[in-house]
Amino acid sequence: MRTVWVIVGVVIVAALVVSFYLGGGPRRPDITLGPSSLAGAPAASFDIVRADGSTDSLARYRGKTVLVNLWASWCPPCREEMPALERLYRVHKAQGFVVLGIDQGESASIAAAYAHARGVTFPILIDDQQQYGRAYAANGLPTSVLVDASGHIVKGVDGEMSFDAMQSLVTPVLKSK
Amino acid sequence: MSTRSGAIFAELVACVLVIAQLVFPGNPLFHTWQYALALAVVAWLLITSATRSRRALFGISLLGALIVIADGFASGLVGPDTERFARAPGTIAPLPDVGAAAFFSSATPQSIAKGNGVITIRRRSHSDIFVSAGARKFLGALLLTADAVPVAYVEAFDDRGNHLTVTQPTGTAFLSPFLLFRTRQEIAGGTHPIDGFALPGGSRTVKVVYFTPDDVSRLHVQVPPSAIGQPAILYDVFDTANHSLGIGVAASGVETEIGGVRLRATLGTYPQLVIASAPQPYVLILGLFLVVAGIAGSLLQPDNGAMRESKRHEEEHGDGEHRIGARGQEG
Repeated sequence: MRTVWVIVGVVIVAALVVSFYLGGGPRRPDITLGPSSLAGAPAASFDIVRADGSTDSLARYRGKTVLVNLWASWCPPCREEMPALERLYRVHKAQGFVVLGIDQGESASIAAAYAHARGVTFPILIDDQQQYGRAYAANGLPTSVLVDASGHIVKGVDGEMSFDAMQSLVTPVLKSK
Repeated sequence: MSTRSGAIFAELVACVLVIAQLVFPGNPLFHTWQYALALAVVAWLLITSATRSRRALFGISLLGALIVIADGFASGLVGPDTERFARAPGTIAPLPDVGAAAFFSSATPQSIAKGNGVITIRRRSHSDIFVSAGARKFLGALLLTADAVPVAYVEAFDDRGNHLTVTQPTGTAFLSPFLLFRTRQEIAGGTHPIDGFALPGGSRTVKVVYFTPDDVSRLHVQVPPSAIGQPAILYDVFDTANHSLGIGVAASGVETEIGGVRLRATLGTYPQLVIASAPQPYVLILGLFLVVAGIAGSLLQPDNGAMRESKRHEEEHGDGEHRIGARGQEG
């Protein structure tokens, strides 16, 4: 009789231990994504309006290397970064490179006036529902996401970048095209 | 109650206790020691009753019940705690423990008003699992469900009508105009969902409280007659020095001006992913099958044990009568 009890006990304990490991045990804390975690993923695209009123989206630039820059006129680091973005666009435009400036949540008139005053020539899109900001897991502004010609994210960068940092990010991707 | 009927009762109790995990997924009761103790007591009753019976079919249903109990233990006491993932529409939440990612569908003010959101669970080399409010999907020993929770899509404009960026520095998505109301606060004798957002372009921060239609009538919230029976939102607007500039209430979709900004919120619902441990379905089905088969078989089979007991009783009784008779004859 004692043997039966021992066997039953051992079986139950073994089942509990095995199920503990199969069940995963305690969960890890909740993880919040940032733009850097998106490398390799297909880049999300949404149809939104350009500052001139026409419709545009990231998907329309398939085949080109695109630096998506999420910005807003009220954001001081975004203002600091804008001249470097314009310079980068002009330097690499002929190599099939585009900068897409996607304004987050502001009126087209504000974004257009701001871009015009700064001499920005790259496309400015107006994302009034902030869809790109959510899809690219932006933790703040500015946020930049480099998308290769196949539409996949190469790297996501949180915060302001210098021209040199932009160059070192974009040049290898353009060379590998 | 005989040993046999007592054991059948204990087996059914075990099944009910474990199936309850599927009926009420995510209930914290299943991770308590009291629930585990209840299962252990039932298991002990079954094992002790088994030692008093030599019937093979009884052993089959007992084995099934013990499998069901072990499955219930695994998902209950030692299973992972229930997790809830409230995320903004159009965002992704990694689920590293299940090797998957949850994609929260994009939404519009119209879609949240209708409560149409869907969560897609993606794993490598597996087909997608779609979870919408009210749906139940198994992922191994996990049960995926979705609760429809209050959500608001907020828009803000400055005094010239310019659209303002909405940010949520403490939210799950920084650049999101969707408020998820993940916190509750006690106000006027009830707990209400609260949230907040910032308008950096307008130098304002806003705290909000979500009122259900019942709250609106119970708290006598001032809303237009056309908004009666609809949810409403309370705004408390602050400047950069954290001074309150005004409080106002508006119904869903109605614009109101407070503290130099015009605010409009569309109220609705959006799914919140709930991941609860659940009994492993194949193990549970096996256990339940054995229980049912064992019980059905033992009910259909003649009770040989009882017959032997009756025969032995008859023999003992018969001997006694004979002895009495003999004694009488002797007397």
